[in-house]
Amino acid sequence: MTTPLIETTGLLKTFGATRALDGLDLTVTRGEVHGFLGPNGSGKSTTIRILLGLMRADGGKIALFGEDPWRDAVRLHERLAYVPGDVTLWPALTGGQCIDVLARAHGSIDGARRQDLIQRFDLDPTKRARDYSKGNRQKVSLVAALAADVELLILDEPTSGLDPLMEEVFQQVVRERREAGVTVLLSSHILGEVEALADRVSIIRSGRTVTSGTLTDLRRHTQSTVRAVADRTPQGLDALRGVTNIEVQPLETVDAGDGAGGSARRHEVHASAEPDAVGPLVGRLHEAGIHTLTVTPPSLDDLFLKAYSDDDSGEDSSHSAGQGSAEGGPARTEEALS
Amino acid sequence: MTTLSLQGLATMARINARTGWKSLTIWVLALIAMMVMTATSITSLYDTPAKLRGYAESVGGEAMLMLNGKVAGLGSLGGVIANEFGFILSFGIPLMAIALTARGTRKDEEAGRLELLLAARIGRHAPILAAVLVATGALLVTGVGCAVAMIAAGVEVGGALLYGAGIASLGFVFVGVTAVAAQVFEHTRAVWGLGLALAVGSYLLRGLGATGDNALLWLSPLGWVDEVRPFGETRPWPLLLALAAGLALLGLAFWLSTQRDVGSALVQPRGSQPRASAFLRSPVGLAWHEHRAAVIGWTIGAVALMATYGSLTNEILDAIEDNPALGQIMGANQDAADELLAQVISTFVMMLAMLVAAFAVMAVGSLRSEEDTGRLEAQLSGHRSRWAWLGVHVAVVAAGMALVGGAGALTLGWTTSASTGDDQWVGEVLAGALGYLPAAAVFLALAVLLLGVAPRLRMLSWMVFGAAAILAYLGPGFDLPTWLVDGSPFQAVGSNVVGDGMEGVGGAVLAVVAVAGLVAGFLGFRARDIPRS
Repeated sequence: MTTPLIETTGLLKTFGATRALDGLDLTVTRGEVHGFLGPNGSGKSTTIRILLGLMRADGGKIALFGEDPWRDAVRLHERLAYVPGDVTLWPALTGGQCIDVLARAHGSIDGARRQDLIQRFDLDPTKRARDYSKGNRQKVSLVAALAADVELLILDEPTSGLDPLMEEVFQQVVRERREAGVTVLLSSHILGEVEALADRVSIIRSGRTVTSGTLTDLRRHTQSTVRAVADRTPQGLDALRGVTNIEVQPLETVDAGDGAGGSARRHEVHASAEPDAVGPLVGRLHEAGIHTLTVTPPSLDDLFLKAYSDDDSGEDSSHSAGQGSAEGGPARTEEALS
Repeated sequence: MTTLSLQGLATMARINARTGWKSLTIWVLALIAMMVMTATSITSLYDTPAKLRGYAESVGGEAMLMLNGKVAGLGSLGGVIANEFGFILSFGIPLMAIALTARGTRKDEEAGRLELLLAARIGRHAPILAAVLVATGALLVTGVGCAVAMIAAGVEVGGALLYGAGIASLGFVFVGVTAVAAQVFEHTRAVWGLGLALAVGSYLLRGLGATGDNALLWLSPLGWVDEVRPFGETRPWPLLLALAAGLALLGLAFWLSTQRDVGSALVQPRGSQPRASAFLRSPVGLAWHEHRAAVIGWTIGAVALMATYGSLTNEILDAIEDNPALGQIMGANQDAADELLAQVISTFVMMLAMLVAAFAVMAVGSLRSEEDTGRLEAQLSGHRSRWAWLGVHVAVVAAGMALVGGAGALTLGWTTSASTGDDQWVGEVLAGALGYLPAAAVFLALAVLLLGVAPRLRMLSWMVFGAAAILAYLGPGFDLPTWLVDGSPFQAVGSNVVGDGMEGVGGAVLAVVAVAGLVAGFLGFRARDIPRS
């Protein structure tokens, strides 16, 4: 196993009376797109600034490319490019000029890719930055960073202000960079974006890592939603382990008055199932004659909500949520890491 | 042209006054207060008719005509006050009109507020007219207030009221100018740019017209107001010129506002270079790009001020030689007069040094906004060290200081030589200006120190600057203790730098303080968090 590009353990940072980071752990390995999720003010940007050597941690360990970013900031920066969440650019410079100025700070830039990205992001490089909308300003930072020849991209809420079409372009370009071997740290509070791109995710809250792992790992601790319409009343659902929130309702519309066919009435079934319980549940539904069936895996939103509802009561996580989450307590999945 | 659509005018006027009452009140009160101060100081200084007549003789001359125009009735109290108030009138009133009108027009439109209002039950022309009415009302109050202040000081009522009407009329012209500019330009700063350019243009045209006694005077709104001659042979009709011009401009603004989309402007921002030049991409080039406008602006300011001072030197020399008390002491000795003039010119050079120091404080202070806007982060996330970034900026600011100070000193030297006909002043002024170098450097160092160590205390450098400037400017006249006055860097280098040269000890102490401040600032900047809010 190679050394991770980014490795922090127990990172601490206080601003006056507020504790911005309170034991933050983050590990990003080479070649992955790592989603860095958390609500506003949870410490994402502070972590990134410490990674960039712009701020100094008050405690904990941090290594960027295996070295100390505070001491070796300038040398390490040759290997990365950074997109801040909101940068005001230089109002009197055109977008194209801003790209070149930023690119110069990033080191070398691929001229052909710069051109290509400007086209794909539909950016007018002759317009002055003060005449740009927020989304267009963001495109400028993105083009400058994505066109740079670097090993690591650090993107801090990079798509704020982009429309869905441009968001699509962004995802496409990030995938291309990843194909080219670039590692990406993607900080975001847009779950869909992280879900679409990230190989692994770290979810943080109040300066602390709540959970981290691959999406599959994280989903292991949540439940899929199963919806089905069965020809007959399914039997024995209550006896299945790991199946909760069961609702079975007869569908009235199908009962089309052809005499005493009461038992043939169709039923709508709705239930939540843990990953291991999906198979047995579908088996029972099959016995009742499946008419339609959808199994929805947990979305990142569910993970997100779960991570926060588990952590809501502060240190004391003994009360388990009413949904009947199996293990209770925060889903620490470090042991599941490959 | 579509018809005027004024629905919601009253609402708009209320919104305008409600959101802008603070700046509006400050403008009105500040200008009236300046008139009160001018009037009281004149009445106490020139308390007899004989002294008033003496005023006309002592300030006569080309330079005064250029500065304040041809003020009628200089032998009367009203005339003297009008002359002393001339500079404030020339710039304060236009600035007030521009500020108040731009706020309710283009600034609201740029911020998107106008769109919001026009989508509600507000007619298309209501916001513009509301802004114009509120601004004009404030100018009227200012005019009446100034007139009342003059009457209270003992000026005859008719003249004072006419003068007040002149103030309001002058402002009204610039309300019109700003309303038109707000239709033409998309950004508020461009509206301000045009307004200011026209204010300066009016001032220069009036000056040239007054000194040359020609028709250029009538091209300037300031000339119209002067030609009312409230304290001479009164004639109100030139005020009609101002009113007509203001109304015509407003009509134009209304019509232009129907020729464009809301949120847009008649002049669309034009595209520019899609690529950055090699110079702009270099750290020095980028730093220069950020300080360029300030350097040019301050240089023009320094040159204008020094040219004014320099052109007054011959009158000062005459005054020295004509003064019977001084004449007795020195006889008709030219050298002794020159020595006294050197003392006066030292004060001018000190003013220049203050400008240079203020530029340094402002320019280094602006680096803080690099941090607030995230541009500093973006640059430091590249392979540029903190010291390299700060070093380049400090070097560019220092070069800017050299440019502002050098251009100002050369101008003062040249104009003094031209005015007095004595070539030696160029060299003496330049040498004197160099003597103030340590004083200006201390303020550069202070600003860098605060940026590096305590960025939140940025305003402290302005406070220190203000205290030092006031001590140095007023201290000698007020007989303050020497140690206190010499504590100001502007006095520590000596009180007569042009005549006697720089105080060696004071200069050396300042130089050491400056170097120490810079070193501490750089060390602090490397050790602190970025951004630090």
